[in-house]
Order: sequence, then C-alpha cells, then structure tokens
Amino acid sequence: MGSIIRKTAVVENKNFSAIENTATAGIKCIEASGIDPSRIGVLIYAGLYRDDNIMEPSVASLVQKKIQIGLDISASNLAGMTFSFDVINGANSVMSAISVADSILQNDHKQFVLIVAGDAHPSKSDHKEFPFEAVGAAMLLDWDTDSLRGFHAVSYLSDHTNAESSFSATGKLEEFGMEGRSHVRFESDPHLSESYLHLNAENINQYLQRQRPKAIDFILSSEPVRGFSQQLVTMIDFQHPADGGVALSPQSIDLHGHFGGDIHTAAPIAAFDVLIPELKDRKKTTLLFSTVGSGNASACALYCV
Amino acid sequence: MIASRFESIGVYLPEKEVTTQSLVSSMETQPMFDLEKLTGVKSRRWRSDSEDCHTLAMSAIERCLHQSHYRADDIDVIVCTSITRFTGGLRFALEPGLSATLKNTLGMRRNALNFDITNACAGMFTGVYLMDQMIKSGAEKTGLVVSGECITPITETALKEINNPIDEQFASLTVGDSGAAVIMDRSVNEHSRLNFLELFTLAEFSEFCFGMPSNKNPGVAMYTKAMEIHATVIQRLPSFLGQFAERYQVSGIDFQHVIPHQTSERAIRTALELCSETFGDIPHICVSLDKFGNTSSTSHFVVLDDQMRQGIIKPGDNVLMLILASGIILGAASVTVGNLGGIN
Repeated sequence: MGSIIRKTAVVENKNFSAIENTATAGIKCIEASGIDPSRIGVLIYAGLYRDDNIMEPSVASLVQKKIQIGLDISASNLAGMTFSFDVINGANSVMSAISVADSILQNDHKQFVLIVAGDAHPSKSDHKEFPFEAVGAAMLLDWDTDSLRGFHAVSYLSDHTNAESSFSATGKLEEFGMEGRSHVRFESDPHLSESYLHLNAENINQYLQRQRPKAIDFILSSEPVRGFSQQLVTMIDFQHPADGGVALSPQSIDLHGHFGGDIHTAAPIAAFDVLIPELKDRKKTTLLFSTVGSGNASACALYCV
Repeated sequence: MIASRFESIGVYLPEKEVTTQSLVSSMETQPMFDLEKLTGVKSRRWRSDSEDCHTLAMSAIERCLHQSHYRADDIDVIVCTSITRFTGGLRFALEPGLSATLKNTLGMRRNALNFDITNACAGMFTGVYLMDQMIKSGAEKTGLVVSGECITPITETALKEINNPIDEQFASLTVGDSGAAVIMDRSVNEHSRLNFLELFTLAEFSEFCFGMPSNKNPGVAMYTKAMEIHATVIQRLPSFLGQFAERYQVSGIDFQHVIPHQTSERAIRTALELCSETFGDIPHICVSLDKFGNTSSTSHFVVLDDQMRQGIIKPGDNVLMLILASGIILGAASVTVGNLGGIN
C-alpha cells in the first residue's frame, strides 16, 4: 500500500510566470487523468520562486483559482472542497510535499493530492541571473490499497550542523529599493556539486541499507549541474546479499539534455514524466527518487511502478 | 483511533509596545474611522532592531522546549510557517528555508525532516494539520510547528504610503510581531487531544489580499480588500459552522471557549452572533487584540498562551479555533487542551 502517481504533466512553453506554468501543468495533468476534479482534496505548490516575490496569499491558492477547483464553499455540502498551501524546501520541496501527501492519502483514501512545482524568476522575465530553467510540472497522487505499488517512506538527511548552505537565494529589500518585486540575489559555492554529491550519496546509501531493494532500474535525481545523476550512480554503494556482490547500477535521466538546464523543484516530477514511455513496456520497475539542495539537505524514496 | 495533541506551546512577544494612538497620530492621511474603536487594537508588540523571524521563532521554541518532555534531538519534524522570512533586517530568505536554519541552530538530528509552509495567516494551523496527518498515519511521532512572524514592516510601509482615507493598507496598522511554537505528539487520552481540524481554500477570493514588496518604497506592503473579505466570510461562516456541527455532532455548548483569528473585535462578534443559529453560542470568546493586535500566523497560539496564563482557559477545556486567512482559507479545529507543559 502506498501513494501512487496517477498522472504527471510538464509544460515548457517558455512562459516566465511560475503561477501560469504550474497552473497550466496542473490543468493538463487533471485533464489527462480523467478524474473528477472535485476529488482533489489537497493542492500543494512546491515551487520556490514566487511571481512578484509575493508573500501572501499562498501561490497554491492562486494556482487553485486558475485550475478552477474548490472555488467556493457550498451552503449544504463540504465535499468537493480543496485545501491548498505551499511547501518550501529548496530542491527537496517536491519530496517534502510527497512525504506529507503520503500521510494525507493514507488517512483518507477517497481523495487525490495534486502537487505542482516549477520555478521562474520573480520578475516573470527571462532574467539572465536566474540559474534555473522555467518549467511547470504537476503530479497527481492517489492511494493504492491492493498491491505493493507506490512510494516507500521518504528518507531525509541534512548536512552536519553548522555546515554552510552551498546555495542561497535571498532578497534585501533595503537594497532593492522600489524594485523588490523583481529581484533575488543568488549565491553559489564553487564546490556545490561536490558537497551535494557526497550528501546525496550518504543519504541514498543509508536508505538502501535500511530498505534492501533487490534492484533499482532508474534513478530520478536532481541535476543541479549536467551529469550530476550519472556521477551519483557511481557513488551508490549497495548490493543485495542475494545478488552475489553486484552493486546496484540504475540508469539515470539526463534532465539537462531534456530541458536545457536545471529545472530545480520540478526535477522529480519531470524525470518521471520523461520516463513514462519507457515504463509502458515493463512489468515491474523500481525507481529511486532523489533530490538534493540548499540547506544542504537530501531526500530520497523508492517507488515501485 | 489515533489522534494527535498539543504537548507543549511557547509564545514570545517582543517587549516594545506601540499604541494605535501613536501610529495614527503620526500619519499624514487620517483614516475616516476610529481605528482603535473599530478593531479593538489598542497596542501591539514591535520587534527590536536585533530581532527578526529567526530570533522570534527561536525565542518561542526555547520556551516551548523548556516546558516540553522532549529535547530538540527527539523531534522528528520541524515546520516553519511564518508569512515573513526576514533575517538580518529586511532580508527575505527563499533558499535555504527558515526551517533549515532553525534545525541547524537547534542541533536537531540530521535525519529530522524540515520544511517551510506558506499559507498566510493559516500558516501555523497548516503546519498543525500536516503534523496531525503525519502522526495519525504513523509516519512521524513528534513534530515542532513554529512561526517567527516579523510582520510590522508592513505597518512601516503603510505609515509611509497611506494617502487615501479608505486605503487598502489600513489593515497593516493592526498587526503585531510575535513568535509561537507548538510541539505535537500522539494523544494518550481524551483530556489532551486535537479532536478535529478541517481547512478549506475558497480560491475564488484568493486575490483579495496580497503581501509583497512595495513598489513605492524599499520594504514590504500588504494590500487588503477588507470589506470584500468581511462580506465573503460573514456570508459563509454560519453555513460552514453548521455543516461542521452536523459532521462532527458538536455545537457551541460542547466548547468552553472559541479562539477566532484576531482581526477586528467588532467583526469577530458580529460573525459569531450570526453563527448562533447554526452552531449555538459558545460561552467565551477569546480576544487579545487590545494588547497584541493581529499577530497573523501565530494569532491562535498567542491568545491560547495568554488565556491559559491568566487561568481563563484551563487544562481539559474544549476550545474551538476558527481559522481565517488570505486565500481565502476557512477552517475550524476542536482542541481539548492539556496541561501544555505547565501553563495553567
């Protein structure tokens, strides 16, 4: 039993509004799923960068309005209502959202949870300093009671206390003057890739020791830099005892090749979406979702298709 | 059936008090109404130069942990839920999130989950909802929900920018700074329990209130269509509470107190009077607007702490929390408050 991915959608039409992109992906995802939208009990926005740097309301509520679900309360029936909110945790935002969605679905099997993610510069333009590719991604989660399909528990690991974050995005409003809605300052450590790789591999290897999977077919990983997931695969240090000492070596997804750069919070959803054609002809496939980002922190979870 | 509870709460209020009278007298454009009389806000707490969202949150967490049976390294999840994310003056942090820096400062376990929530004034109750879900599912045992809400920068902007007697920034004059934290774990008896909690986002009205950087001054502003929000809520709250009464088989007499979101005393009393027919009367309405103003995401916990310290809310009392936030979010929680680590 566990949360399963009912449908995903990704839009990359080079629109530079996080709200527009994620809402478009959400609509596409719901339409493709064929479900009754009124059964989406929870909508989570797991993108980080916010159009105009808005702090209130939640971006999720603005996306919900564009998707047109649970718009108003009925005088006679609370069913069909939606609760929306933003989950923020760097590149681990979607995995954090999956963690909470899994509990929500386990407690109430009748509903769906829609997670939308993706980033765009707050200025809603193709800003040259923005280090991420603007895409919108959506993932519809459902609960499966009949099989062993779905997500296993998410493993989370932060760096050692007092370790500096390898990446930061902040805004000093006094410095931005009257341009506070359209600026963010990014700072990146030159050793970011190395720090992320080590933490990510540490988390994965500890997790695999606990979970002891017999096989992992694909790793769906963040790609803060091109080739990151390929390097990560070489650092996986686990073999199932029954497997005669052959270390697991899942295939990775080249997200930079597909999207032209780091798609940040959208990575786990987009990687799954890219993989869908491949999954169609397979009977049983095990995936490892893996993200790493500022903080520094890493999240990972096995997923059985 | 598994349920969660509030194991301990901690509230921190900055020392400095600023009166509504002093704020209004400093304005060039005077409001068309008596702000203090209309809202009931006489004073609010104001951050010092050295305080920001991180320090307000840490001060609340320290109080919460002091009264808790748990230590920082027992906590499985930390959720930071403030609207504002200022550290070191008006520097907002998008990455890493405040939960990551708080986790680091507290020396929590490396494998403890952390994430931030943004959900306007429903932030803390969104965190409570998520912890409740994770405790009920068995995914996690202990969680810390915190908000360090450094919200008075919107007041500073409003004081500079209000130039219309019915300006959209008037609501910014009612807010106050605070920190609040709650530790949640599994309920062991009915004397301390989160009985139910439901939250809904009425997204049709999501554009009635925006908090964002100002485009006229270096700072942050909040633009609120207060009349529209009031009308929307007043029209819906009675049927909303009526449906809760039916769903959970409760009514006003099952509660000793109601803690509404702290907006305006007059609006709160009008709304609850209208709910009398569908939900019944709740004996005591908790309001602390006069002392602390609207502390936004922390408001229910600031009031709960204040009323427990005064001995008005006692361990074992049933409290109805009414949640209202931009989005528009409407919600209700039924909480049987326990000893909360010694506050009584």
